[in-house]
Amino acid sequence: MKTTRRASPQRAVVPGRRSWSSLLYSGLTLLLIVMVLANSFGILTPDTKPEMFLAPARTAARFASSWLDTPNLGAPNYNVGIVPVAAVFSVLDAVGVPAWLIMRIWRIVLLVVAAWGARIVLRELMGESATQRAGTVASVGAAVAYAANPYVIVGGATTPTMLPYALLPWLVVCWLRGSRAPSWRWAAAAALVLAAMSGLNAGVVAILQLIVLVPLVAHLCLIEGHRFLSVLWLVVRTGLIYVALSAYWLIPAVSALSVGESIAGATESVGAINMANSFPEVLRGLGMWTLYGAGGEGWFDPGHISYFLAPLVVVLSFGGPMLAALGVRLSESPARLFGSLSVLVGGLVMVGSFPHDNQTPWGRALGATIDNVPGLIAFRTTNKAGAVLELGMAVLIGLAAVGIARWARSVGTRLVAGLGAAAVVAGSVFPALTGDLYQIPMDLPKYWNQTADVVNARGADSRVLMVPGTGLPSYSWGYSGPDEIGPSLFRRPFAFRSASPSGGAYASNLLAGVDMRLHQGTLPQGAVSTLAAYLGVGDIVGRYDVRGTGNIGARVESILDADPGLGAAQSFGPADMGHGAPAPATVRPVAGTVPATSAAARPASGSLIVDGAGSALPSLQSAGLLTGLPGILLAGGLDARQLEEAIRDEGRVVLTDSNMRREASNSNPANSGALLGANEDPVSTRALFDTSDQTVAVVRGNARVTTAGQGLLFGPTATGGVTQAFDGDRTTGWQFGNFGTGVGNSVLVRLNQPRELGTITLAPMQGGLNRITTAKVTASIGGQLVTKDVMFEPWNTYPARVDLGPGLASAVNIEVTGVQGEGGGPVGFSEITVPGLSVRKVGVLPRALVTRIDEAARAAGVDPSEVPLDVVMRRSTGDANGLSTEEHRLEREFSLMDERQFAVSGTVRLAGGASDSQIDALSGRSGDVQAESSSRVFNNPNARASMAFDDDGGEADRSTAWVPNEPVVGEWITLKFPERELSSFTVTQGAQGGHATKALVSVNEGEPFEVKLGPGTHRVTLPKAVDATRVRILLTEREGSGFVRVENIGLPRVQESSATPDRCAVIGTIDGQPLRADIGSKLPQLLEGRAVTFTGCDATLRLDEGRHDVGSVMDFAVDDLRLASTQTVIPDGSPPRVEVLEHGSASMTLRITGNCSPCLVSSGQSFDERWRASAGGKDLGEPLVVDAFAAGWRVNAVPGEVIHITFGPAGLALGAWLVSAAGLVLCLVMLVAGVWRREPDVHVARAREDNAKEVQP
Amino acid sequence: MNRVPVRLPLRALLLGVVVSLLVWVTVGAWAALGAAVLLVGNLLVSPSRRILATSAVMMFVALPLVWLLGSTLPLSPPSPRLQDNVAAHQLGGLALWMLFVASVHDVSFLKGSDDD
Repeated sequence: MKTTRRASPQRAVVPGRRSWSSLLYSGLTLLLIVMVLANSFGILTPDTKPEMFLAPARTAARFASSWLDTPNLGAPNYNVGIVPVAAVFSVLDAVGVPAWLIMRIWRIVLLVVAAWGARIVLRELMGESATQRAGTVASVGAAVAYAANPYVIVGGATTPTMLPYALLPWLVVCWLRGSRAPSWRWAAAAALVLAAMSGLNAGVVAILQLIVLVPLVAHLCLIEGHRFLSVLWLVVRTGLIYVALSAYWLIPAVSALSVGESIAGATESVGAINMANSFPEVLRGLGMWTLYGAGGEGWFDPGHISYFLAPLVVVLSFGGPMLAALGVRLSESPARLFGSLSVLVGGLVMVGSFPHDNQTPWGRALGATIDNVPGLIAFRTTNKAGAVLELGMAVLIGLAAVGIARWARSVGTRLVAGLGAAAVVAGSVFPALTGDLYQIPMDLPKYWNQTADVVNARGADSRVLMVPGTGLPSYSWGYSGPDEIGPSLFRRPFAFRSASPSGGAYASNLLAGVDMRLHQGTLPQGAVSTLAAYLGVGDIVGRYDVRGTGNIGARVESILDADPGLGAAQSFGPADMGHGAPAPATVRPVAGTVPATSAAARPASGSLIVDGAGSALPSLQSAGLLTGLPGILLAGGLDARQLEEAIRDEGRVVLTDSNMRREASNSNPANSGALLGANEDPVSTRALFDTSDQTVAVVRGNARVTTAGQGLLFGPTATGGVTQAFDGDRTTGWQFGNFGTGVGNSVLVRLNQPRELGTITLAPMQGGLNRITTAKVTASIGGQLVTKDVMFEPWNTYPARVDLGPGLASAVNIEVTGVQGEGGGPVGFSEITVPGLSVRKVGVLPRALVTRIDEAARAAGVDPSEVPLDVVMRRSTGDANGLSTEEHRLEREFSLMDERQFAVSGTVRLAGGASDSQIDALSGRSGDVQAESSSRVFNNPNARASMAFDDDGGEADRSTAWVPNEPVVGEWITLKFPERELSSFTVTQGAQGGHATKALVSVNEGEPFEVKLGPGTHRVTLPKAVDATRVRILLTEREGSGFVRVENIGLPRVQESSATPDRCAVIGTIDGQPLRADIGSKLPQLLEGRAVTFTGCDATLRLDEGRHDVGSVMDFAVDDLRLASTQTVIPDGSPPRVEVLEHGSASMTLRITGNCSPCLVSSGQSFDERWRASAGGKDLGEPLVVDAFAAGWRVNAVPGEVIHITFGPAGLALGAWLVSAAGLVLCLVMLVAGVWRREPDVHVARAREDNAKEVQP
Repeated sequence: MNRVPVRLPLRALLLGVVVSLLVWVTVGAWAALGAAVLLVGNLLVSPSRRILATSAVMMFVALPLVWLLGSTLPLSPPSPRLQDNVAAHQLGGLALWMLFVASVHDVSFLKGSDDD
C-alpha cells in the first residue's frame, strides 16, 4: 500500500489519553531511576575521566587551558570540550552531592532526555497520525527502545558517547522543524544542540553522528518534498554557528592534533576494534570490541558477557531488530524511510571493516580513509555511530508498536504483547537487572585519600611523580581504565610514566628510560631523585595496588629507600596489597628544598651535549655526570648554531647508546622490542630523531641470518634474538613459538662466500614444558637442494648432528616441523653450529654528532680536541639478575672524531656462559682437580659443579651444591682428577625437594652403566675397580618438585689455590685488544651473580680517530662501560636561580636571580616548538630541548630580569573562548527573541494548509 | 506546489542490480546473491504481498538462530566465533539492506517542491 504524505504534526490532544500516557511515562521514568541508582548503589562508577566526578571544578579549570600540565610532563590539550560537562558537575559538587550520585543523576538525565527526544522525533516523522492513539503507543515504544537497548549498556555507556546519543534526536527535531520553517532561529537551535553534545574526546562522537543527515535529508526531500538546497542551507547555517559555539575546543583540538593522533595510534588497533562488530552484533546494539576482549585477568567487561554467553539473552537482544523489521512490515507510515535508512547507514558505519581479515570493498575503503586522512584515526571506533542506528530502530519499533497494538485487541493478546515487549526490554538491558549495569566501579580506598591529604598539604606547584609506571592501570580494589587516579587526588601537577606515548616524544623517552629500569630493579642509586630534580618534582608517590605486578613493590621500594635524595617514606594502606612494598601507597618528599615549580634555570657552562636521548639519565647519573645537575642538551635536537653555542659554553659531549631504535610496548611498561637495524621500521617507538642519531643494530660476520614464521606472540619481546643461536654460548638462544606456534618457524643462513659445511649441529632448548621434536634442514649445495629431516631428543645436552655432505654450500635453512607439549612457553635453539660461521649482533652508536663537532667547535673558536668527550654505554640487561637479558654481552661500535685518552670504569658481572672451570680458576680453585657441568640453575655461579666437590674443614660442605638447570634429566657433571684407583663413590643429594633417581655413570669415557640414586647419600659401585682419571654422571631420571641439589660427590675435592687470584681480569675487548679491569676485591659479589663496579687496570686508554669496536669475552658480561674524558669543566660563578612571579598551565613569568650569562631556562613543560619566551620584551626565538624533555632557551640575562614564557596557541585559544561565548549569547538572543515575538510562522501555516488538502486517508 | 507521486516499478530491475551491487560491496557475495533472488522474486510476485518487508522480518527472526548455530565454535571466546560465523554476518547484512529496500519500495515519494 502506498502513502503520500507530508509530515506536519498537529497538536490536538485528547485529555484522557494524556493522563494515561503521562502516568506511563512517569512509571517508566521511575523504573529508570531505580535501575540507575540500584546498580552499585553508593559506589562511584565513572563513565569517563574519574576526576570529572571526584574533582570537577579543578578539572574544569585545568582543562580550560590549551596546555595541560597533568597527567604528563605537559601536552597540548585536545580535550577542552570537557569543561562544560565538568562545570555542570562542579555545581552539583558544590552543593554537596557525592561523586557517585553526580554520575547517576547525570546518567538519568541523559537517558530521560534521550527517550523524550526519540519520542518527539517519531511524532515529527509520523505527522498528524502522531496525535491519534497510535501516536501515543508509537511514542512510548520509541522512547523505551531508545533508552533501553544494549547500546546504552555497552558501547554508548560513557559520557563522551552518551551525551551526543541523548541529544541526537533533538538535533533531528531542530532540523526537521527548521526545514519546514526555515530561519536562523532553528539553525541556532540545532547548533546549540550540536554544541551541547560537547567536545569531549575532540567531539568525535558528535561529528560521527552527523551521518544522520543521510536519512534526514532523504526524509525531508523525498517524503516532505523540501528542496535539497534548502535543507543544505539549513545545515550549513547550523554548521557555521556550531563552529563559533565550539571554537573554544575546536581551536585547541586542532592545535593538539598530533597528540591525539599519537595516542590513537598507540592504543587499540583497527584490527582489534573490528574483531567482533559483525552485522548481527551492531544490529542488536553491540559490537564494541571491549565487550569481547579478555586478558590475563579475564574478561575486559565481565559484567556484560551475558550478551554472548547466555543464549536466552542473545535471542532476546535480537528482539529490537525483529520489532524494527515488523515496524516496516506492519506500518504504512512514511517515517519508515528515516527509520530504515538510519539503521542502514548507522549499521554500515558501525560494521566498519569487519571481518578485518577478509574485508569488503566498503571495509577497505573505510579503513583506507581512516588510515590516510590526517586526523581521521580518531574516528576508527566506528561503533560510536550507534546513536544513528538506535534512533532508526526506535522509530521503527515505535511503528511496530502501533501495528501490534492494532492486532492485539483482546486482553489476552495484549497481555502476550506486553509480556513479549517486557521480555525483549529485559533481555536488552539484562546486565542492569543483575547489578552489572556499570563496567567500572571506583570505590577509592581510604588510604588513597590519606595519601592525597599528605601530598596536598605541601604547598607550591612542584610536581607529584607516581611510580612505577603502568600500561592500563588495573587496581586491585576494582578501578580499571585509561585514566590514572592522580588527577583525581592531587591538586599539584601530576606525572607518571604511561606505557602508551603521551606528553611528547622527549618526555616519553625520558620517563620510559627511567621507569623501565625501575621495573627491572636495575636503576642506579639516586636516579629517582635526580630525575625528580630535573622534572621539578616535590613528592614521589609509590603506587603498588595494581593487579598482576608481581613483587614490583619490593623492587621499587628498595630502590627508593636507597635513594639519598629522597626523604623518609610515609606508608598508607594494608601491607598485603603492596606487592612486596610495606603498603600499597607510599609518599616520599625530595630531600632539601622542595621546588616551587617545574620551571628552572641551570648554568649553560658545562652542560652535557648528549648524543642520545633522555633515557640516558640513569647511565649518566651512575657515571657521575649529573652531579650538580648540569643542563642536558640532546645533540640530535640542536641545530648548527645551538651546537656551536653549547660548545662555546664549554659543554661536555657524551656519546651514548641510549637512543635505541627498538619497538616499544604500548601496554607493558617493562617490555620493549629488540634493537632494530636502521632499515627496520618499528610500528611504535620511543626513539628520537632519525637513524643517524640513533643506536641501531648491525649484524657483523660472514653470513646473513633471517627468520620466518610467527616468532614470539604477544610482543614486543627483546629477548631470544636469532643471533643468540650463533654466539657460542649455550645459555643463550633463539626463542620462538610460544602458545603452540613453533611449527613453521625457520632461520635462513646465507653465507657471504660458499663454503663446505660438512656437519652442522642443532641444539634445541628443551628445558620448558614444550620442546622441538623435528626439523627440516635444507641446504643449497652446488646449486642443488639437499634436504634432511632431523629428530630431537628431549634432553638439552644431546644436540642433533646433520651431515650435509661434501660440496660448497651457499645457504642453509632450518625449519621446525614438529613441537610437543601443552605449555604456553616458547621453544628455541640454544646453539646452531655451522662450521666457519661467524655472526655477531652489534649496537652501533649514533654517528651524526661526531661528524658535526669539528665544524661546530671551530665556529665557536674552540679547539675540537679540547672539547671534553665521554662515551657511556650500557648493555640491555633485563632484570636485576640478568635472567631476561636481550644482550648477554656488551657489543658496541662507536666513532671518535680525533684521538682521545680515556679513563675506563663501569660495572661487570660473570656471564651466564662462563664455564664452571673458568669460574673456579677465577676464584682461585685452579689445580689438578677440575669439575665441569652442563648447566647451572639460573646460570648462578654458586651452583656450579665444584660445589659438589668442596669441603669445609675437611668435611664435605653440604651447604653448597651443584644445581643443574631444568629439566635436570639429560644434564651431566664431570670431574677430572689425578689417576687413582676407584671402585665406588657416594652421591649425596638434598633430603628435601627434587632429586635424581637414575643416572648413567661413565669412568674414563668408558661404557656407561646405570645407577640408582635418591635423596640423601647413595653409593655408586663400579663393575670393577679401575685406575680412573675422569668420572661423568649423566642424570636420566628425576622425581619430586623443586631444584635437584647434588650436595656432594665422594671423589677428590677441588682445592682452593694458595696463590692470590689476579685482581685484573680481561672483561672484554676494545678494537680486539683486551680490556683489563680491577675486580679482585669484589669476587664474592661476582660469585653471587651480582654486578660489581670496576676501574681499568691501565691508567688510561688511548683511542685513535675513527670507528672503534667494543667486544666481549665468554666469562664476563659488562653491564656499563664508561670511557671518561680526562678534561674537566668547572662551572664558574653562582648558579642561576628563577623566582616564579606567575605560573599557569600555559604561561609563566620568571625573574632571574644569580648568574645567567648565559644560562639555560627551562619551562619545565614538555617540549613543543610552539612555546615562546621573551626577556625584557625581546623574543628569545624558538625553544630548544633542555633537560632532555622540556622547552627551554639559552638566555643571557642580568639578575632581576623578567622572562615571560607562554604556549603559543594559548592566545588563540583564549580568543576562541570569547568567540564561543559571543556565539552562545547571540544564539540565546535569537531563540529568546523568536519566542518573545511569537510571529506567525507562515511556512508552518502554509504547510498545514497543504497537508489538509493532500493527506490521503 | 507540484507533487506528483512517483511510481517505481519500471525502475525495479535497475534498482535490483544497484542494490545487489551495493550489498556485495558492503556485505559480501552470498548476501548479494540473496538480494538478487529476493528482488527478482519481488518482481514476480504481486507488490501487494510486500515480499521484501516480509522477507526482512523472516531474516531478522532467523538471525539469532543462525547466530547461535551458525558457527562450530563454542560461545566463548566470542571474537573467533563471531568472525567464524560468516552466515550470521551475511544474513544480518542482507536483512539490513532488505529492511531499507522494503521501506523504499513501499513508501511513495513527493517530487521536490519549490515553496521553501
